[in-house]
Amino acid sequence: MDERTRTKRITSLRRGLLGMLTEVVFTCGLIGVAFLISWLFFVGR
Amino acid sequence: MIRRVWKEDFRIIGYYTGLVTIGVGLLMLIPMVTSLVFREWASALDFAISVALTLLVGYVLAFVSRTKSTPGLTHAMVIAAGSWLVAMVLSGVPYVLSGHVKSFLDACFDTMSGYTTTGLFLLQDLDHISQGLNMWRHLLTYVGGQGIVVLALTFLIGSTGGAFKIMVGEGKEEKLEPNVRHIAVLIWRISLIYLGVGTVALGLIAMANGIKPYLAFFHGVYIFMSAWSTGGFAPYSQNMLYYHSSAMDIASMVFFILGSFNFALHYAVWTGNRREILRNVEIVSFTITVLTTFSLVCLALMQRGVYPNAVELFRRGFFQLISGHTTTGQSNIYARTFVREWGPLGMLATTIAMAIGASAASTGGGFKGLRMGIIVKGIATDIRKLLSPERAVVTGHYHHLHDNTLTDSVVKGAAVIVVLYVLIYVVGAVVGMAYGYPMVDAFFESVSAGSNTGLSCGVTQASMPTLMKIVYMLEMWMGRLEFLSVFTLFGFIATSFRSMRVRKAAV
Repeated sequence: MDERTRTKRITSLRRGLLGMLTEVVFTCGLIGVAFLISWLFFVGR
Repeated sequence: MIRRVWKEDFRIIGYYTGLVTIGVGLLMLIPMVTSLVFREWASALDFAISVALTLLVGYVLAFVSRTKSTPGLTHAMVIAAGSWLVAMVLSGVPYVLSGHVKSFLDACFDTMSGYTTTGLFLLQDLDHISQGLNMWRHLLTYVGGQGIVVLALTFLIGSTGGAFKIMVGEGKEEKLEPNVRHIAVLIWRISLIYLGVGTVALGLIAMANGIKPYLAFFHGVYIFMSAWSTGGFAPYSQNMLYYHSSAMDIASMVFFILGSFNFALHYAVWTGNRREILRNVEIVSFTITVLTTFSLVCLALMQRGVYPNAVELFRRGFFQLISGHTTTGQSNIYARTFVREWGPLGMLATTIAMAIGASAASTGGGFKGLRMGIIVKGIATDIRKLLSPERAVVTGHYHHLHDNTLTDSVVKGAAVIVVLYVLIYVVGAVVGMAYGYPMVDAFFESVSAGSNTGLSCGVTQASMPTLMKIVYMLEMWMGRLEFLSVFTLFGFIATSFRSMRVRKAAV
């Protein structure tokens, strides 16, 4: 494997990992907002 | 003018359906090996018989109708819809041989529910079925989520000109790459990477909950497959309630939300376009509708004082709501709790969430966030037109992978599909009501089947009327394939009969 292919693969792997992390963070954020809503409903009852 | 049907048309459809059937037969080897690992000899024999039968049917079909012609759009649609029916029937054989279903119809109901990632089931004594059959149930839902045809494309069909058209027939119309085989490989790569991550995470949680390590691994696989494919099956009849674990609930929730995203969105985010997740019309629409319907659920549950604290309200209320909205159907409450404790407002909010559903070209069902976003934007554009000076040119836009202009035909296309979904929801509910089920229950269950969700308020049972089972199966099938390919199949059958009559008259 030459240097160019190796760099290309590493970049692709890094992008994939960062993409996966972005999706997980977004999902956890949505779950967090939902928890906040349930807490607000409970406090404001 | 509708064209005539010729022998070559049947050959093309038979050949490709045969290839998909061979794919299903090969897939059955996985539960067979699982049964052998667990020394379940009777179950292994059931699968051996089923593998032999399915491969035989597949090879005979492909051999008898072998052709080098490429499928056109009509063939592709008929192949997609027909393959699902053939796969449903043959995949039901291990169910029948296991003796855990009351009839072959019940077995077909379960396999249709599995392939369409619905999650409703009529299986008897679920807590005592073999590991092999459990693997088969979850595998059906995992493969159904990616699309059976996507599976066949990856391994058997290759990059023929008509392959992409078959994929469109299965509701995976996003063209991520010019080569259709690359699209199928991409879909599988994303799913398999998440399968690895999800199995480890869920398996570790199961182990921490006291399940033996080797069993914890299988629980991790099952729950992941069910969550990622927005299926809703679980190895035990109590579904997620069996684990009594907040960590399991939250981990599963993360995976089914991720599974409900459009594969094109995954592709965009994984290839460096990370801002897409905040800009995409589907995600914006999904976030707004999730938070709105959850607020309604909170209101209903607070009014009735169902849960004693905010944590419990979130754990039960949000899990059920998001499970419905992503059309997953996993449940951490008993089915009748919806009727007894959640009440009409809670059930209505969940029904709306189920009806809207997940993203287009994802593993989820419902009429999809993309269409919801397009219709809302279309209405907003029309209002802007009315408020603008008569000579002003007002055009709407929406962001899905790139900026798109909102044309009348795009809005009309989205509206037609939404109307068809609403129609099947209503038909299913009317049949339920005709059999004496209360209106709220009948709508809840019908929307659950039509949107491929699988949440149940207790209507779906082996003892329910046969007609309701058939109607729910049709709802699942049509809802999953988004109508077009199913209607083409019906049209093709009608045209075939007409062509036969014309030929006979000519003779």
